[in-house]
Amino acid sequence: MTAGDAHARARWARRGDIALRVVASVPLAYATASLWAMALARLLPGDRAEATVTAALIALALCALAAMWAFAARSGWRAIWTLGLAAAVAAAITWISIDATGRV
Amino acid sequence: MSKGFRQSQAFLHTWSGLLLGWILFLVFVAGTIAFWREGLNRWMRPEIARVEQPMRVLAGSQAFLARKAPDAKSWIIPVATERSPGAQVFWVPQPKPGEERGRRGRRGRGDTQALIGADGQVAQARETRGGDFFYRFHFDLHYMPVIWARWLVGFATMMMLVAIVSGIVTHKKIFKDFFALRRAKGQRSWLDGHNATAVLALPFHLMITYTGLVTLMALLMPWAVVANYNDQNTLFAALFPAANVVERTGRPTPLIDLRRIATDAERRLGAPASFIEVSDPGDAAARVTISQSANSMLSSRTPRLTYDGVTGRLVWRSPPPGAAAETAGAMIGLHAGRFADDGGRWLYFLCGIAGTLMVASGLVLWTVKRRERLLDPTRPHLGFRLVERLNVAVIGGFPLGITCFFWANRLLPVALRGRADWEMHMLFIAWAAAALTAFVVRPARVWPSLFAVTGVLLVALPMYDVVATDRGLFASLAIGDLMIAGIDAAISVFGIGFLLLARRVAHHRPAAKRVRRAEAATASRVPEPAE
Amino acid sequence: MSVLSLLLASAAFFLLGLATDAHHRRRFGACPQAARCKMLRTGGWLSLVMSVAPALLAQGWIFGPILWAGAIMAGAGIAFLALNFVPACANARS
Repeated sequence: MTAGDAHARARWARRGDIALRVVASVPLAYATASLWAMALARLLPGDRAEATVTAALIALALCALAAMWAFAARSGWRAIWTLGLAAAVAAAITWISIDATGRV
Repeated sequence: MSKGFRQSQAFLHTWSGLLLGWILFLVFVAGTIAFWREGLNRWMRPEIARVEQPMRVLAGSQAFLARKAPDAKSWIIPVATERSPGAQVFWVPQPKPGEERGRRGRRGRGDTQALIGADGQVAQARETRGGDFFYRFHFDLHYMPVIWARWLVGFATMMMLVAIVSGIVTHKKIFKDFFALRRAKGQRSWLDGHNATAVLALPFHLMITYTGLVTLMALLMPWAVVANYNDQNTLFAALFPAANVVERTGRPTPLIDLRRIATDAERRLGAPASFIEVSDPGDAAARVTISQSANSMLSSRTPRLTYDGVTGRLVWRSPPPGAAAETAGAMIGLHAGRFADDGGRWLYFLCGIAGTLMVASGLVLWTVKRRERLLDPTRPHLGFRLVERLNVAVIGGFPLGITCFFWANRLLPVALRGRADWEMHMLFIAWAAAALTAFVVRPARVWPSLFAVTGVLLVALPMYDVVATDRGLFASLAIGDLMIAGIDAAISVFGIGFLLLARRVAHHRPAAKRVRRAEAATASRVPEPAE
Repeated sequence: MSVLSLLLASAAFFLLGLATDAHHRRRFGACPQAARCKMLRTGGWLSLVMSVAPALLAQGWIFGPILWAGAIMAGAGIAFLALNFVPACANARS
């Protein structure tokens, strides 16, 4: 492999990494934040309307933080699986909670 | 913080700021102007007199609606203030039998609204959207379904929030560097200007961006509702409670004088009222719901009172909202800034200008930095050319469009059908012409030209007001109408500003190219915003 | 009270700005030594902290913080303009 090939390969690797981070920071960050909005809406104590509003307010900030994490993570793949895991946890919490006590 | 983290956030800051930066520029310009929305509503209708007696306008509104729409389903009457042009009343006709109960008709329909002026009669004013155009534009944009516009603006706002926070964490000496302003040093001067406008009003920028998201929260983050409610109307009934709906009886009964209700409500609330909704006017089951003015408190969710429309008896009072609802309301209130007095309004306006300059300088900074790194400055790559031309088209063209909007407001014939729409068309036609020029002619020539034309037109506008209207600067000052005088004065100041800017840009000679080092590594290194 | 908050905030940023190399050199002809730098910074932060109380006294617990945010932004702007655009005395350049 020549030096030119190595250089080209590195460039494509970098582009791939950025592409993964873009996926992580836009659709995945939004999905993760939305799922956590649902989980928090279920978990937060008190009046349902109040919990719903609080959860939505927090989720907006979480979305921005998730997008930042997508670029701060050591690699694009790491960004994706960590956010994916967070999303899955939130989804599980929501599912179990709705299954248990239902919705208003 | 490690260098890797800072670099990653620098990269993020650049791209989350750039990709929708032009949308953000439009939002900032329109939103900043919208802080003077009420004043512009008046300024763009120079024929009408100032409101001196709000109750007179209210009585006139009721009389007008009783004549014009006695059997309407509901009347909406804003309570006029000295700042408003009058009361923009509208009514919802009874649904015809068989017609499905759908959304209320589009609010802009001319056949179900009217402006009642200071004397209680229908105002003889030119048809215009006034300052409300800027308010609506900054989240509804134009020429597109509002839901698309709000998603686009919402998405851009989230990118803005990411850009702000990543900009903060990436900048090592953010507060120390704030004071620096290196002049005539090319890229570094632009960086200093961008940093200064960003850091100076940083609390405002963080607030306005996050609260902007909150105003669109129902659209952008509805999932919390889905998690807790089968039917979102249950939530809305909890957050926006209302008195029970009563069925129309069909027995015509005269509606009580609304002034009595307004006076009683203001006494009970201890604050001015702003909004009156009459359901089933002229019927025995008429109800009058009146809201406290958003100018009198921080939260946008103001207390409401419902009265019996025949007897004037208080029937229902809105319960105090919960902490979260109050917080969301306060955030929306902070964003709109309606609570602010004149001094506060000016502060909002200046911060908005700082934000606009921040976005614009960021967009230009990108090209200035990249230009120094171009391998062949005479043939830049497509991305660079696109950004550079978009910068000229938007930053140079949109202010020109707004200026033509104001001129159209002055010059379009009063009898023109769809006059209000044509004022807005003129904005976009002028902007399109400027944008076309930006893509066809060299940027170095177009920048100063656009700024110069904008400046000349702006400076000429108050002069036209003095000559052709009876609300020129001197006339306004003579009757003590500081709002109108202030708008004319501000337009002059901005005009001069654009002229000075045009001259500065025309005389600009790019700094002599730095000697490029042979290392390719330098060219491909991700640039930090804080360098 | 609001004006007091604004004045204290402006003074705060002016002092903090003077503590930076570039501006100190411009006004006094030399970079600040460690002791003086520390003094300017302490004075600046102290002034900033002191600007909170007048704002709360003027407008209460809800609008007070809003007023303070406005005061520090305006104060920072005033200090920025003063430091960068008010010409330094001729004798500072030795």
